[in-house]
This record gives sequence, structure tokens and C-alpha cells, in this order.
Amino acid sequence: MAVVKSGKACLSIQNRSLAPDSVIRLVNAAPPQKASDTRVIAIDESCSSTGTADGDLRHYEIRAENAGLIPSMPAIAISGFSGSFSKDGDLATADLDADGQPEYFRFCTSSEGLHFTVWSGKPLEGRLRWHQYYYLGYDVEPTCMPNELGPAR
Amino acid sequence: MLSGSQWVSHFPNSASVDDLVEPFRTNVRRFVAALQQAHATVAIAATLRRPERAYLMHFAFAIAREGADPNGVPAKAGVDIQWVHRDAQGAPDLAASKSAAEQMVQGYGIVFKPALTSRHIEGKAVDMTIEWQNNLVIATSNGTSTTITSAPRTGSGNADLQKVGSSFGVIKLVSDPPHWSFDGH
Repeated sequence: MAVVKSGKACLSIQNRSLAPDSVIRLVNAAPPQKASDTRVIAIDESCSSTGTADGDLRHYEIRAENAGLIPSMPAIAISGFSGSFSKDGDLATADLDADGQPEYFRFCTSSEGLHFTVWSGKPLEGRLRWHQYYYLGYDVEPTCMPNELGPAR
Repeated sequence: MLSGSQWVSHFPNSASVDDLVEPFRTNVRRFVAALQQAHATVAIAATLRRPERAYLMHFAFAIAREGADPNGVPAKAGVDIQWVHRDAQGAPDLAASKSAAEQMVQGYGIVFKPALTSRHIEGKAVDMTIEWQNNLVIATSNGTSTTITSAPRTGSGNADLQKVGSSFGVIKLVSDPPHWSFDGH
């Protein structure tokens, strides 16, 4: 996940070996979805307090300029993918695993957090491939369906 | 006092178990004590979210992002905020009112409409991360010792630990990893 909080752009990702200047692809999961690129600045453990509490995550500062990040609204971050993104209506898609089937991106709200998901095939209909929770720290109206709360298969 | 960013520091949320209501407060204390006795690591992020803060967040968002009429916001006891800003002639200034509400939205760092009611706002919920190493030998509410050998070794994902929490009246909400409450909501 990537998010801008207090003016700093942070990346939390299950990748422990991102070198400075590595390209990160970002997907803003709020329709109309948009994809953009940014780059890693450096490891930054102060980014660990940005809502993702998963011990497997590594935290980096990333460049905010031109990344299209909305303050306090996390985006899905992808490393190691150099393919192209397409549009399906308001949704962005990309064949992340090069199997010929496009992946779709989605988020929903639970009582006090966000659930971000990646699906092979249409969201909620296809196969859930990736899931990440983001803690908001305030109460909101839940919108999540049971099948998007993870785990990924 | 007029609406604006100066309100953001008012009515801060709490991470103290002391601010929970009874009997949930005592239940959480007993559960956390059992966890610590078992050498689990417990980090509490939030307990009481003050209803005054929820009111301010909710209506600031409604005015700034949803076009709500500042003059139509209901008053709340203990929150002497003026949502309607006025121009030099004393007429309502909608643009100034909306701008002040937007300052609050940005100060709170909110991107979704905050709820007015919740278990946190009632003082009946706690957000905490719980982790441990190896097996967890922990006492349930009636003092019986149980050994948890299952994975993951986290409060958010371990069903056996969640049963222990239930014995204390501290119930897991599965959809939000850090969230526990008096009834699981």
C-alpha cells in the first residue's frame, strides 16, 4: 500500500529488497480507478505507523510528485510489474501474472478500516489473489462483502 | 467558536482502558492481564472515541464534501461550534463555512464519512494488537489454564485466542484485525 500522511508518501510492501529509485506502480482503487508510477526513495521505518500492521511488510518513503496519491487515501502498490494497464469502464486492469487473464482492483470499508483486494477476473466474481487491510482509526459505515475480507487463494 | 482547524485538537481520542465503560473496562483489564501474564505482547491503539469528536468529524465531512447546509447541522451538548460563517454584513457565507469545514476534514485526515455511533464511541471497544512467541499458556476467565499451539500467533487471526477473549467478555470483530468489543461489533 502507498499513502500520503502528514505530507510524507509512504510505501508498505511485502518486498524487503527494493533499491532506491525502483519503480512502483500505483492503482487508486476508488472509481474512476487510475494507475500511476512513482519511485522508491529509501527504507523508512517511520512509515510503519501508516495503518498497515503486518509483520511481513517493509516500509519505504516514495516520491509523492506526480504519483496521483490523494492525502490519507491509500493506493495499491505493485513492484516488479512493467506491463500495461487497461480500462474496463471505471476500473483499471492489468495482467499482473501474465497468464492472459486480467487482474482487477477493489477496496471496501469495514467498521474502521479499508480492505484492498486484487482479483483474477471481475471483483467479487473472480478469484481473490491478494488482500491487505488498512486501519483508518475512525469509525465508518461498512460496505465490505464477506468474500472480500480475505484470505487470498 | 467558529468551525475551523482549531477544533481538531479538541476532544482527543483515548487509548486508555480507564476510559472504557463498565463492565467492559474490567473485562478488558482482566483479559490484558492474562495476556501479559502469559508473556504476550499487547499494544492498545484506541479505546474511547469521544462522541463530540465523532460529531465534529461527521458534520465537517458532510458540509465540506457532501454539500450539507451548515445551518441545518443539529447542535450537540458540550460542543459550542458555529458551523455558519458570516460575511461583513452578517449574512451567511457558505463558501467560508465550507472552507472551514474542509480545514477540519484535512486536519482529521479523513477521506470517508465518519460514523456518529459505534462501539468505540460508546466506550465498549478496544483496538489492540496481540502477538506472542511459541506456545501461549494463558488463563481463561474462570482461571483454567489453556495452551494455544495454533497459528497465527496474533490476536487478529488466532481463533483459539479469540475464544479465550470471549471468556472474558471481549469479543473479536473479524473484519477489523485490531478490533475487540463487548459484543463483537
